[in-house]
Amino acid sequence: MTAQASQGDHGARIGSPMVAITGASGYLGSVLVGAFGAAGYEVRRLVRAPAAGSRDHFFDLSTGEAAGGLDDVDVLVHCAYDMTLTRRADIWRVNVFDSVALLDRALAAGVPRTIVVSSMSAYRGTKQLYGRSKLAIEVEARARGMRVVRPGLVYGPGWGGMAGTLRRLATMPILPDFGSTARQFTVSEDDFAFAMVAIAEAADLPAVPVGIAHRDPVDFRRLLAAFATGSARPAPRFVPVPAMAIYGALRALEVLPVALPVRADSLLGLVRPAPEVPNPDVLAQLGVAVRPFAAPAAASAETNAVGAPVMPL
Amino acid sequence: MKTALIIGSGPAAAGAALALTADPTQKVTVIDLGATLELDLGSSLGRLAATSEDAWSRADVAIIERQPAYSGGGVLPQKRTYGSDFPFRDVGQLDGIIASGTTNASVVSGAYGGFSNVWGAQVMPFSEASFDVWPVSLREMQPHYRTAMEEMTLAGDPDDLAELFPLPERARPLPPPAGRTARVLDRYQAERALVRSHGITVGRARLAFRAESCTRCGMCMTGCPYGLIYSSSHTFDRLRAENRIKYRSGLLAVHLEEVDGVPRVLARHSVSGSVEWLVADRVFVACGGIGTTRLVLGSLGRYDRAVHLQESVQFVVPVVSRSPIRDPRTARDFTLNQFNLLYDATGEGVDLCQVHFYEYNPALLAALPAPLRHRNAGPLIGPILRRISLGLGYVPGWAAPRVEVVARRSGAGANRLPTLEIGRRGSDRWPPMLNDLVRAMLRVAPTLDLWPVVPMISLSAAAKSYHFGSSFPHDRARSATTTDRTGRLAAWEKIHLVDASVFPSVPATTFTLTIMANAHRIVSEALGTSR
Repeated sequence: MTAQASQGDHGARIGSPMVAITGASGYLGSVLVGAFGAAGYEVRRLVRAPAAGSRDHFFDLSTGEAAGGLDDVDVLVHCAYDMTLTRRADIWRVNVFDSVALLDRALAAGVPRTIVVSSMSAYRGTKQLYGRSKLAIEVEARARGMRVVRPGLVYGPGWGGMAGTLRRLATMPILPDFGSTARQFTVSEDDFAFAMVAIAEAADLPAVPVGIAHRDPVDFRRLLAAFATGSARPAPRFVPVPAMAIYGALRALEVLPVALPVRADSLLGLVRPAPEVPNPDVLAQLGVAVRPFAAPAAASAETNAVGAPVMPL
Repeated sequence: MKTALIIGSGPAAAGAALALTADPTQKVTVIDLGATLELDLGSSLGRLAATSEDAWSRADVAIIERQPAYSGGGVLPQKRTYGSDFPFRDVGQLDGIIASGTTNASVVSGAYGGFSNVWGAQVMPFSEASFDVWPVSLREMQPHYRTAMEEMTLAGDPDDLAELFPLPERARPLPPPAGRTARVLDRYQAERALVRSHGITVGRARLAFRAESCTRCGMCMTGCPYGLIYSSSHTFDRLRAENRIKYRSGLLAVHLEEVDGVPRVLARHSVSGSVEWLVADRVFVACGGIGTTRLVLGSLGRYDRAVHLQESVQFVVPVVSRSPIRDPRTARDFTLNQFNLLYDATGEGVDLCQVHFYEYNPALLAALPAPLRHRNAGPLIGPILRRISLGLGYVPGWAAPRVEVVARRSGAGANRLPTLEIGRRGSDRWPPMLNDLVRAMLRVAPTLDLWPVVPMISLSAAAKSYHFGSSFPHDRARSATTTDRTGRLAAWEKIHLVDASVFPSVPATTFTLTIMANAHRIVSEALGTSR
């Protein structure tokens, strides 16, 4: 069964369970808002800037403020992660400590099911700060009996997050080639969305991080080339570049008060990816099959809007 | 009545005894070599224990506080307790143990209470993730941990370590922290997020001692005169006083077997050399990781084949601080481990290294480099002692070189344990995880004002940590080399191994509590009384 094949199952829902999503205005969060809405959930966006007249609730990870945001919630999906922070201590304080505080509030509020959206960057032994912070949140979530997912590089028509950054990079005429170790595990928006709803609805799930990505990694060069095919520009030229030299240069530049297109830590995630997708059998047992990477044009042809996949005949 | 026989009197034996004596249908016998403190030292200790500190005689204190000889080179000297080496002394159990190179040869205790007479009293359970490779979950271990912690009387304060090692509600508060510890904890609290981002968590020690009665005489490291630090001998003292067990000392188990489904133990009297067979419905073997391995290998005739034990290798890390505290020689503090630094090498709560930090005690003076111990260096000592502390660290067993043992048929005739050769399998170089830890310590050194003196960090000799085991690890199915969850090898139905020899892994978090708890679990499950 592919991700699309059983989307219709959600149509049989009686009543509307409530899902609250932190980081709902971010890329993955907005994908999930659409997916859970399409699956029949009442969706509560927990965001820093609630839309006027909407059912959004104010939520700020750094202050922990979420007045009433967890009341009557059946499923909490914790997507929020503040990528704007630059100081190491702030990154940890807000994204780890404040996430853990949110998990505790969810427990106190009696939220029956919480899913923490981690990352494929979170793997045993990673040196990447982002991956380490996600791992730290995972450890706390699992200790509280919560579910943890590790999405791969999510790509699709929404073009946000790291995929969006890479797509912008792909429009450049000359691109770095970091060698064969630079690769990513990928998942389309649709498959990610479908897997998340399936995980939210599963009665029992092993207490392990669930990878949401196709098992075959995609070479960084192939990824950029595929992302570039959507643009009208000529095919980019790849130039071999030592990744760690670029990493060192970025680290040095980060002490300067200049905005950089990519962080050293993010580069580390690209060139030192996870060795494999963790626990792929869990998704398989839920009847979810993540499709292999496809050029975005092909992927978007199957989808008419974020979170509203086309049903195959 | 059913009969049960326990071999040994260390923490594993104590855990087994607690479970057995909770079942009124069990008649429990304990056999042990049972070496104890020398009479003259016992007299001095008795006088100190019977009086308040202000009435102690200097002579008695000097005897009880006697320090081990320091051999230099960053090598930890063998600890003393109440001025004695009786926990390490050979009363027959070390006969035939041959250690290669610098490998520690005193790997089996013949003492009443085993090595718990000299342990650091640090008590933490294994983390939840540590049990991923065990056929037993942390949840299944919890009731047994609780029993063990209640028996040991745990003292600890709530802090960040509770994230991985939840503190029981009934833990008693620790005495106030010593000077350096208070500073480090304050600095950690102020920059907690930064320190944690480097994989390091800091918290106070969790100790098995009756903290509320501590007078802070500063003699913890040479033995508490009031016996406030837990030893498994305390458990056996109590069970003997209550007539719940029959205790027989002076016996060395040399052979195990089952005949027609009935287990029996051949024991040799340490004084006379005579032997006797002891029969019971079940036998629980608690001779320590290497002691049990030797007994089993000899009993099953498994000679001339290497067996590899995991060891959570120990290292010594001196640290200096820029800001001085007041001269610790004038302070009144307990001298057990004061605080812990936990390093999560890989971020998942599995690959944990731990460093226990000790502040001043007289042994620290003896360990200073020779020029600083010269009498003309007196004026320097104060400023130095105000800035130094000592860490004793551990690397997980799966990330460190193993201890290799080989049993050889004894040439000393029948009724003897096999000869056992011990050595380190692998390099004496630092395990890579220790490199990672030191790098992380250096990154947080300015924040904590705790600078590791890298050139003086030393890896202890093989088997020196006393945190070794896993020679017959628990597995889903038992076999010739693995045990089931009740510690049974394929060869035996009613002989259970209950000490660290059955650990599937040897994490770097503290060891003794899990030994005691797992022994309690094994016996409870074997008797069908597990909660």
